[in-house]
Amino acid sequence: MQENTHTMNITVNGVNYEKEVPVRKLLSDFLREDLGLTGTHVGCEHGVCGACTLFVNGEAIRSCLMFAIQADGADVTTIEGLERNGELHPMQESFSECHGLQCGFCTPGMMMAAIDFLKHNPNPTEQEVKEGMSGNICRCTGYKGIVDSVLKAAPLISKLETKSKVF
Amino acid sequence: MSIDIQSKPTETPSKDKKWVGSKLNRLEDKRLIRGKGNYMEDLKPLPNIHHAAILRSPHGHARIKKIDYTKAIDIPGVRSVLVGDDIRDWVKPFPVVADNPGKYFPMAIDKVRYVGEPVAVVIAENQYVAEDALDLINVEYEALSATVNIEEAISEEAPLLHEEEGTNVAIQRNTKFGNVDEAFEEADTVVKERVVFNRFTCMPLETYGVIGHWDSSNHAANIWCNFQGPFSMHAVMAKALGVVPNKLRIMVPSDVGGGFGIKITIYPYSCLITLASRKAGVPVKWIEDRRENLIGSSSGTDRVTYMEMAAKKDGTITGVRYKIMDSVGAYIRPPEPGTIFRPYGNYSGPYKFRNVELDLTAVMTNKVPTGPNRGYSCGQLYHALERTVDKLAHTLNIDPVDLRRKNILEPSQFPYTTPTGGYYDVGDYPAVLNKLLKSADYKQLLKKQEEMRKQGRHVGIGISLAVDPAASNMGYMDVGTPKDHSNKERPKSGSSEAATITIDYGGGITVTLNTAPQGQGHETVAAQIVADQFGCSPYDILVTTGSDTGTRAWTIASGAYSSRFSGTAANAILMACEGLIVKMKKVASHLMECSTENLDVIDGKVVHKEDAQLSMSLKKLAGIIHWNPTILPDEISNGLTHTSYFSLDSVKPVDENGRVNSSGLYSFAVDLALVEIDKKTFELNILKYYMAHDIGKSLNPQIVEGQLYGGMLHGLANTLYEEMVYDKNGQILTGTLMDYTCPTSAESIDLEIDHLETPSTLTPLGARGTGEVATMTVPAALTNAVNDALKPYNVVINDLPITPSKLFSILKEAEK
Amino acid sequence: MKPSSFEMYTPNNIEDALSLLDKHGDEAKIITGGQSLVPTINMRLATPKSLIDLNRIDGLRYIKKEDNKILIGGVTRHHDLETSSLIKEHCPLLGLAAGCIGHLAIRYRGTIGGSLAHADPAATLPVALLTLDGKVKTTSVNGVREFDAEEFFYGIFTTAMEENEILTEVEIPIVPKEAGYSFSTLTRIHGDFPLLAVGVLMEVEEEKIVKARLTVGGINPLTERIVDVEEMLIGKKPSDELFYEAAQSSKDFMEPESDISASAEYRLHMVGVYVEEALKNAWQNIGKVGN
Ligand SMILES: Cc1cc2nc3c(=O)[nH]c(=O)nc-3n(C[C@H](O)[C@H](O)[C@H](O)COP(=O)(O)OP(=O)(O)OC[C@H]3O[C@@H](n4cnc5c(N)ncnc54)[C@H](O)[C@@H]3O)c2cc1C
Ligand code: FES
Ligand code: FES
Repeated sequence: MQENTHTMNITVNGVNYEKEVPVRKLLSDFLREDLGLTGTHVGCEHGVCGACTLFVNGEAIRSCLMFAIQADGADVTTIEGLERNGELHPMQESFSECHGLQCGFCTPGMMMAAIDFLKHNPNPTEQEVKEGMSGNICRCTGYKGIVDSVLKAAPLISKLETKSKVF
Repeated sequence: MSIDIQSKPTETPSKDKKWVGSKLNRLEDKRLIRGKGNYMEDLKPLPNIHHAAILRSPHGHARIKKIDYTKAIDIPGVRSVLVGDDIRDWVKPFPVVADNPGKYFPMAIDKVRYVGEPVAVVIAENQYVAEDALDLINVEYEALSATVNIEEAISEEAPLLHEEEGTNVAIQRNTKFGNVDEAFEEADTVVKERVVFNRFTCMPLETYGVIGHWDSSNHAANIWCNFQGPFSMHAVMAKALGVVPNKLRIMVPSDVGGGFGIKITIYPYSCLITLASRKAGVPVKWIEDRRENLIGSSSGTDRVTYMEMAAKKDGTITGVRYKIMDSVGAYIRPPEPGTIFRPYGNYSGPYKFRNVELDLTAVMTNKVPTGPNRGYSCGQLYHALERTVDKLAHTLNIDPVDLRRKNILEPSQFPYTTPTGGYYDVGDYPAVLNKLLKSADYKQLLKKQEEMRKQGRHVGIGISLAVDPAASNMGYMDVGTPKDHSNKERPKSGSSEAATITIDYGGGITVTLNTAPQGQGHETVAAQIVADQFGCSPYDILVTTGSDTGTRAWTIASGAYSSRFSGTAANAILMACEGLIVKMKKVASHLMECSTENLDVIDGKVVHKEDAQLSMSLKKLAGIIHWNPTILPDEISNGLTHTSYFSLDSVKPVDENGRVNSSGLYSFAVDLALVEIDKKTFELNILKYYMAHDIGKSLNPQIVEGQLYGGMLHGLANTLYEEMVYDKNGQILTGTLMDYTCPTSAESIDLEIDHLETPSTLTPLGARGTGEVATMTVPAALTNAVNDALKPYNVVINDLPITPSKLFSILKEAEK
Repeated sequence: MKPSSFEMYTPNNIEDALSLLDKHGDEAKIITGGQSLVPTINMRLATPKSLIDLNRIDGLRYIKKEDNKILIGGVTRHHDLETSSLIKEHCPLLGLAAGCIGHLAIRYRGTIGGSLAHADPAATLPVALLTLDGKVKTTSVNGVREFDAEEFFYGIFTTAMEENEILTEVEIPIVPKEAGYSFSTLTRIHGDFPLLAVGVLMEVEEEKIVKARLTVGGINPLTERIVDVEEMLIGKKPSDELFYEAAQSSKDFMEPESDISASAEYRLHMVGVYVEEALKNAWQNIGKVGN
């Protein structure tokens, strides 16, 4: 049984790759194994935990629910792509300052979801953050630090010049 | 501009302020927020690593008749298949402290006893192919009837899991302390309560991961895994694998995605995957998937407790009888049956009563084996104890707070030895309670409740108290050792940890630990401690965590479990600093030609006490020691590395009366919840939640707060949302996250937290434990609050989780 | 938890997709959002030989108005529905329902066609489709078929569709401005699949209910409107008492089962609570469509 592969072209964090990929390979596995981008974590592989969340063409989606070859031609941003020119994204700074992480396993997906959430709601209330972030499970923080981080990042992100915004 | 967040700490300690006790951004965050963590799945430590997939039992209880894997092995890319027959000669059962333990191997050999039990392991070039092969293994089973309910499993008619034992009761111990029978005979009131705790897992977000490498040339095992300690499990593994201890090397990466006790019991899989490597002749990697995790990992025990409490008319509790039955699942997975012994020293909680009967039973059922789970059976303990205290208050018509006030230990009673052997060093429990009541404005709260009740609302107030045991005694399990067991001759004790600090030729400080943390911030706190000692910035210190038993200093107790870092490792770190400072002072005294007594270490320099001008930087000293050692006197050894071991002295072996101080340190906590049951939807709204703690000295308040919130969430999860459900055949109904519903940010609650810091007298830094306490108090406080809300209807709910559906049935029943 | 092997086809146009589907028959599965399909593939509960990915076909993702209808392409995302101004203006209930699905990350990918074709009895969008009196268009090499919402769903994960058909379009009649509506779900955890979903559409003229549509999902194996209760409402003057009665009667048409999330009795009770609330909301909402 020969593994069935397709050739694909994908841009990840600004770098273009042409790769031959098994058809059945999940996007999350492809990024981790074929591109060595292990910042994207896998917590459930059935769409519930949110750990694998990353941006495909500007939308934060579950990379465990997408086959890599479906991202042929896509522009992908993973956690490794948040830092631009040596400058951390305000979400990264806020997570550290507000103790938004403990073990850090949910953190990459959590930050991606948070950045995406703020795109739709740049100035949220605490309750809105709690509801808007409910697609990502964290088992360590009790969510308090996460909610604080998102609230703290919101005005900082609004202030960012458009060109330095990730999306 | 590059913003390096680590160089702008939230708070910069001034000269007379210390790093310890301050809030600063964590060192580990630097890599974690960039996605540069180093987790088990990210590791590729060896070439030619193959991948394992595990075939698991679909039956709760069945005999294995035949396994045929010929088709599986034919798939290109499949290297080997490991089955029970292969391991017969390779492993011994895991050593267990129990009377009738059955034999526990890393995989099923003749019989399967729970859904999810490993039956075969495929080793293939990648995970996808390994799973393809699983589909082609044919196992013939003869299904047997299963038993999943604790009280049924004990009965005569129950099917036996381990026939050779003749019973499903793995161990039972009945011990009386004080004059229990007398206390009950003379009591004015005796209240009884049956309380049920659900099976629940703290479920770390990162699953188990193992890379096993069997080194056949040396009959040795090298294992990478996200194990969290205690390294006493090293002994369990070495025994099972039949290797001498120094031929078993366990390595844990710097980053582990949560543990909560669950990763203590990864070792059966560490052994299994190493056996797979032995069979396949290549290193083998296995990353547990979430379904495997929910059916085959560890969970806490489900428990039924029958409580009896004797009291005088005035509310003085005079005696307590615990009849505890824990379902430990299909096998005893060490450190089980620790679940019934772990709180030995604090079975009387924060109370004064001296007469206690412990009737403790661990029962085998056709469920996944259990293991420590945040709070290791103390959530269960306080849920039962605090429910019963409330029932007593209710029966005597005394306010639950007043009743507790009457019974809690007074400051003058410290240091206090509990009837079961626990040693509480210091504390002012009434002051903590008062602090909470003040914050909550308890009197006002009662009035408010009265008003709300008048409006017909189901409002309840619940309180719970807990003495939180931390830094477990390696010897507590000896209370369960069978009478004729050889271990009686070799008692165990201690709660120890090691730390190594090296200063390099450039003055750079590296701390090496073997504590295998999973998010508790060990790197940060270690750096805080060292920074204070050497007068430098914590951000200049490199801390290596994770573990490597082959190259680092470690102890049998090492690891990140039992809330022990601040009470053990922190002290070892401090001692290692002191060791180095002594040496550096010696060198400085030689070079500066003065006595060491006249020297101090300030701001990264060794300074003369009387003449501040006379100083030498640590960097310079380190340079001399490394580059120019021959100028130093002979009695000063080369190098600048110091390893220290710290052990809490108070944790001794079990005494001749069968008592044991099961933990090194005991914190105290009080929670109070105000809840409302929605009259239409029966959903529970937590209107207010207060906590007050005495955890001793807080080494980093931000981390402490994080631990309290995290512990709360696990308590909330098991009280209201999560349960591992099995049907009567042992089928698990909560095998995905669609069914095992974890609370999200939307369900989380806000806490109002107070602290009283009474430094521990047992540790140089004065710290105690904090990581598990909220998981212990939340189930009890919420259950009490709900029952207070139900009080006007004369109904109670004593089993978890408390779901809207259950509240609905109870209240509807009450209406009838 | 990794998928078994399959071939993936990525047609650029509907014709190619249809002939591929026809050719591969029951060995092929369509994939659009993948939010229901991929979890089952990862768990190997589904092991299709081929997947036909519709995501590259232009012209299946749209929301447009034609006469008195809103037409929605089969590969239109839940998030498109939730944010569409046309839907907000002409059938806001659908946007509300879409917004109740899971989480943003799910809604970016999940499609209306996928959700309806999947026919999960606990799904959100079928409730909206039934309440709004929508139609479903399916296409195969043999041509186009059109189903009323009532004819489309057969039961748990089964619909009127043949294996070689693609759900290409959903049609929703424009809801008159004078109507009132409500959509709500009951979940154990925020964003979880609903235990219960209720949709209501109501029109009132001269203080009398002239049109009522009520759908309850998540309880019965087949999500249906409760026509008897709708009829009971028609011709009556809206009042709390009426809504209470109607909600209680709704329960007679429900056959809940107990499971790990809730008992049958609780579910039934909640049907009463939710239907009553939904009717009240719809009534209070009267005249607010498009505002
Ligand atoms: C975490 C999570 C939470 C969720 N919560 C909810 C919720 O609260 N409410 C809810 O309703 N749903 C929920 N869902 C499911 C979600 O709505 C799915 O998006 C939807 O059910 C399927 O749409 P899809 O486009 O993703 O379809 P796919 O997953 O791609 O396909 C589903 C099925 O439909 C078939 N199919 C897909 N498109 C077509 C088409 N155009 N024509 C014919 N057949 C087709 C496929 O072959 C497959 O059998 C949730 C999913 C997840 C992962
Ligand atoms: S790993 Fe993708 S959602 Fe959990
Ligand atoms: S920080 Fe550990 S899961 Fe969120």
